[in-house]
Amino acid sequence: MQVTDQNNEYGLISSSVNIKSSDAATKRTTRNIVYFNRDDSERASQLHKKEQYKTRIIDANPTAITKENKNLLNHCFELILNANDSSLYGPERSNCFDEWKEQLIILSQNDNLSNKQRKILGVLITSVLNLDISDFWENKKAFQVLQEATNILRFSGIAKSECERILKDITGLGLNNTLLPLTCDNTGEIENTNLDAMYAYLLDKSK
Amino acid sequence: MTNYGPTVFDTDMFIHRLSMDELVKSAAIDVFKQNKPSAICSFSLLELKGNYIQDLILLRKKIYASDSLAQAAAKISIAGQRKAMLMLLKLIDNLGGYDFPVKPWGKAKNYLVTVLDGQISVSWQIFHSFVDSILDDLNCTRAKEPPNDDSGEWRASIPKCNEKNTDCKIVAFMNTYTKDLQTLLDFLNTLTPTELKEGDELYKIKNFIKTTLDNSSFPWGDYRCRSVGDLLIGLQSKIGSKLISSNKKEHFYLSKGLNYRFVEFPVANIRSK
Repeated sequence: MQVTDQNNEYGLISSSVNIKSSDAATKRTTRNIVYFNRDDSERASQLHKKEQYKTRIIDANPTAITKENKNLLNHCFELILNANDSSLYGPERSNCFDEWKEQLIILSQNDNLSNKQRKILGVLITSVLNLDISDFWENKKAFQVLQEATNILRFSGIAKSECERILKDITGLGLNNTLLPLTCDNTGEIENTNLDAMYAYLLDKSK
Repeated sequence: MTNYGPTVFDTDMFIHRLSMDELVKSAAIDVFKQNKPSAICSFSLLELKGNYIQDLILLRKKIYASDSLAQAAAKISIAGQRKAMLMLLKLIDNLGGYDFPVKPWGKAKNYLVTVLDGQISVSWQIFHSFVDSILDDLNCTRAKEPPNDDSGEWRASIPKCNEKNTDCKIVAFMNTYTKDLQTLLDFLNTLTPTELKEGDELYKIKNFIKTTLDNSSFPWGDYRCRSVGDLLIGLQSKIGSKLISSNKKEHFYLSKGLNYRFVEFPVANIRSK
């Protein structure tokens, strides 16, 4: 099986693909996910299709990915790959990470995303809210999870089990804002006044 | 009460961990860190689902069904009152505050819905992860039902308990504490009308205990357990080393009557610092 380790346009092959020992040198994540490059897209597509039916419970109502979303999803994936690429210059990696965060938000604003894509995207956005790439320098595992989650987002037919697994992986990182502080039973008056002022401003801005 | 069991955290402690008040939030996180091993009663999970997760779903539904920020806010205020409205504002505050991209509303709506979908998806799991174990002597059927969106829409409703949909051990659980319930009833009977006001949860608890002892069976069914949640949490706390809660009103008396150690989380003091 020919698998190369290249940039851009990767296709995900499910973890249960039976890979010959001669493929041992190919790039895999900790979950044995193999990335195919564009040249091998036909083979990747075939295997992907096959594996979907063999190992996944297909999303009953997959939302077709629009061209705009597809491009954005691929761009997000490229950005997180670059942010994790130690051969790149530090500031470039940092900029890629920041841009990845911004692009996730832009993506979330679009229509035509499946509910599973929104779940993963929503958790990704809040988990890295206010975090910088430097918070992940020592945490390779976290990078792998963020990378894998971004990759899975690129598929319309995400299986329920796969969605749950990736959500579990993200929450397992124990990042501060995965669950946002939203309870307000004990909010002080000053805080309430500030929030009301913000609302008045946004209301005006939204007209 | 045991000296070696886990520290049991009341439902409100999980709410404090997610407080928008930074002082309260960080104090609560510290308390969780300092009291290991930790536990939550299964019944608390039910309360979190019935309150916090329901609020998130309310926000999600109203935002999704609105054509503008003003309309979403109006719907949320009417259905969920000030508490839900503050949740919406805090959500927006977390996502940029004054810089939140509110225009056009269609895009802002998608952004908010996406974040809420994520929050609802992981909240159940994260509540479990806050502690080391779950105390479930009741084998509460309702506490094992996470929020789901199998039908395409989020649901976290809690059905009324009946013979057909429930397989819990609440009756057997209460029967093992007959003596403790009698002691608690005797203690509650000594309280003055100022301490035990009609309509308060403690008053309801007293009536429940009386009925349970008279009939030798806990009168479960419908939503009855939810009206005496503090009693169920108090009884389960007996196998722990202590119960930490900010709910002094009930647990101060229940802990005396049932003989478990209650440690107050002084939320008002923390807030006033």
